[in-house]
Amino acid sequence: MTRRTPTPPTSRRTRRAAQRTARQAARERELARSRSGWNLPGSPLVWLSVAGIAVAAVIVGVLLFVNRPANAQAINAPILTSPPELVSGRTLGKTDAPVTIDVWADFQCPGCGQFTRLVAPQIVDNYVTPGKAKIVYHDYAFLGQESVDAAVAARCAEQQGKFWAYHDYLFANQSGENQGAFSRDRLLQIAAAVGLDKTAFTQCLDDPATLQAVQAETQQGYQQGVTGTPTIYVNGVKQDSYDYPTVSASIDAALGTGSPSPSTSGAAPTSSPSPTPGGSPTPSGS
Amino acid sequence: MTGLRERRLGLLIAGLALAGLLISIYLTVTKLSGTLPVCGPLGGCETVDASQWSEILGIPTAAFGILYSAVAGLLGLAWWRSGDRRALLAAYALGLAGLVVEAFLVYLQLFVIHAVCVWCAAYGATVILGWLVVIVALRRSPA
Repeated sequence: MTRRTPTPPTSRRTRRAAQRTARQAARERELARSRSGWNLPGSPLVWLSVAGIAVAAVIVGVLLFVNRPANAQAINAPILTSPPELVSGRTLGKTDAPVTIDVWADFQCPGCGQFTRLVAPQIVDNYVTPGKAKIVYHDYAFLGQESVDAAVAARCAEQQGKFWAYHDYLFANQSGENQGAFSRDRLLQIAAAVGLDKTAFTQCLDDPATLQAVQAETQQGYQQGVTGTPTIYVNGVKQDSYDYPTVSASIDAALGTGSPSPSTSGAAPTSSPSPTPGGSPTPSGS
Repeated sequence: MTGLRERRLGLLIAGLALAGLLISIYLTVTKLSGTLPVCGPLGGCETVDASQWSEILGIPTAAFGILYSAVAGLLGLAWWRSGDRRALLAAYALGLAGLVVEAFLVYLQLFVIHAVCVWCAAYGATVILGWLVVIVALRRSPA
């Protein structure tokens, strides 16, 4: 018979203490590994800085790519269009409607695009279509050459009875300011999409009288007190904001069907027009 | 191992990220609901909100801020809880990326959109401050 080697006496407490020590040692080894920066050569901060900047460069690159100059992008059809049966020149609505909503806008102004896409359709549904109000569009082309060119093109579309269709397309194709969204090529593409006669449209684009009309109306707006876009007048009363609650309250007040417009109370606007840079419009064009 | 006291900076990182998270959620919700962010007398929010730069492939730009702030906040909490320096190093890299993108967005507001949105500026402040706190924390927990 062989004699069994006696095992050292161990209690449950000492075994647990040994396990704790082993776990602690493992944690410290792990921590030491983490402090060494994953064993990469050089400082981990250098590697991480390079990685961080590389990720940022990719994000900025994607942003620039998806917002590349509009010349490379297709023409967007407007999601909402002005009802053709209500169209009359630059007016949308019945000519004998009791309330007139004058909209002074620039085709490149993002706020004007927002008004056209979000607010105007509600006004059309609730007031213009029932014959309570009409919208009259006015040029305040102050954001540069493409603002003027777009306004000229819209007037040329008006000559063919398609101002509002062209207007809707312009606002559906905003893309930055003076970055090619309303280059001559794209204005011609929009004209084709709207169904305009190309020869007449091109002649009109080159007619100095059309440009003068845009410049004259912009100047008229400035003299009238328009200082940014979009500026909305309801029966001649200038609105501080272009959001739907403000404008609809003013229309209701003018119709005598609601409380007075909050726009005249001096409350801070939630969507005020974009101010004119430099304080006065400088419609350029050649 | 860095002490719990130093690791409280992790809570500050998480707090700043939480502020950024709330701002980006607000901007995302207003963008998706088609309403305008309340901007106060300074203005500019609606112009920035309506610009082409407010969306990336149909996704509100602010939604990416939600993702960024959530990750930054989790990394701050991870550092606070465990003291694992890797969380801090990851927060450093993330913060640097955020800082560069934020600088680009500020450039867009000033020189391309020509309007400054106070909500965007406040969000940018949480990114910059968060990154600075990460640097302080890194210095206090040497490798």
